[in-house]
Amino acid sequence: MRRFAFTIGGELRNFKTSSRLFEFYKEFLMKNNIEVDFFGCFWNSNYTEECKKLGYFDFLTDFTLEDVPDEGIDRGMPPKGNYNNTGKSKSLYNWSYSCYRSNYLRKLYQLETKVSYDLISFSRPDIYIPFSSLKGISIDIHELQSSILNATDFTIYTPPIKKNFGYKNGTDYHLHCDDLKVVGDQCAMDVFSTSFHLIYIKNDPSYVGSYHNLPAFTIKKYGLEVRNDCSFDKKWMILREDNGIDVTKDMKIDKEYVDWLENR
Amino acid sequence: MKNLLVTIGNKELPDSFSKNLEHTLIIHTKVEDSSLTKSVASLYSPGLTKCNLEFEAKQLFERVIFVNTNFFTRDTDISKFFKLKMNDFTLYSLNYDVKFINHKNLIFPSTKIWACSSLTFNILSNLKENHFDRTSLYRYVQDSGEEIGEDHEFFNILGGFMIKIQGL
Repeated sequence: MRRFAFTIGGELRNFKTSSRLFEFYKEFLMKNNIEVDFFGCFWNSNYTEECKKLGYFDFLTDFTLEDVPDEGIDRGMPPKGNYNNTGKSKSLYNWSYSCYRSNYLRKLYQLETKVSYDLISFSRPDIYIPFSSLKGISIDIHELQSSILNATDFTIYTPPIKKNFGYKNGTDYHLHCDDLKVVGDQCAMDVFSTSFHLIYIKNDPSYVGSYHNLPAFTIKKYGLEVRNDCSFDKKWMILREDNGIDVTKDMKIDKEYVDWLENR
Repeated sequence: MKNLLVTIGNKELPDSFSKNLEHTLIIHTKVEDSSLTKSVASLYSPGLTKCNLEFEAKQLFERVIFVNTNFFTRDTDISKFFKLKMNDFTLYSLNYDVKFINHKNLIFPSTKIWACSSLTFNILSNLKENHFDRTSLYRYVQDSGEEIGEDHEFFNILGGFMIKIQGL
């Protein structure tokens, strides 16, 4: 039996759909001999309250609801997009904060229960894992210690990190990486989730922790290993709709998920 | 609080010593087996507490000092640590050894008393027992004719994270 922990954090968006998808991921992974736990840190809002009343948090092992951190919000700016209730976010402050907090709950749970995880992810709550990637995870997680993957501790699985110099019209700072999700082994995520201390509490004036930059910066700064040769680093998507699945125009929605949602 | 003193071992530090420490929070963990493996692995919970205190205060500890109390004597002078500004990714050690191995002098820190910055402690406090005790792998030590000990294991871990060792 393997064990996977989803840590999720930030503003709840499209959670009616994504919470049901999380239930699918759990059921699918459990059928493949993988125990799954979920830990979350979300911002208070009317939408959050409604989700709680409707039982959308029931799949979570532990979670905390907090007011959105003031430092992470661009006050005076209009909310971004249809589902932004708590205000336009500023850099990855809230991302990093909720990564720390959700993983803190996970660590407390581990101290209490003595369980350990083979793999841990951190992502925003409105996430869509393409079924092919989910299937890949369910296979590869059993191969972590085999000669196929030969995984070592302190490894983050992410698409290649790029030095983003000379990128015309780019808005990113120096290092560029996927900031939609981070997947790593327990040792790596134990260290990685303290990025809030590294970037924002440390407040070192010599670097910027921002969009598409912060995860890469944390990985490099803490000396974690990077791999992108298996299913753990494959791209996840953002859900754009709360009533059914809408990801991007070009993407074919997985039938398995549509059937699951229709039968719930 | 500017400093965090993390102690492990069978006994706590003497009161006469502890009460003279200013701006220092002490977290003690009773550990019967004070081998490197057990003592470093016992830092997980203090590491968690440290992060949470920093999160609440929105401020990092300026230095984290580790003492295995089983090896603490009247002559142990940890005041040297308090005078230093701790650079990140550096481990400061009292009672270190210097050994000439592979063409150069290498510094082997004490596994019993050392200090580092808060961020460096974030790495060290997340190490697990299985990251140690791989003595058969230390070819560079075997080649030199040295006896392999805990100091080599600690040295190896620090090198793996590019943590510089500085003797005091």
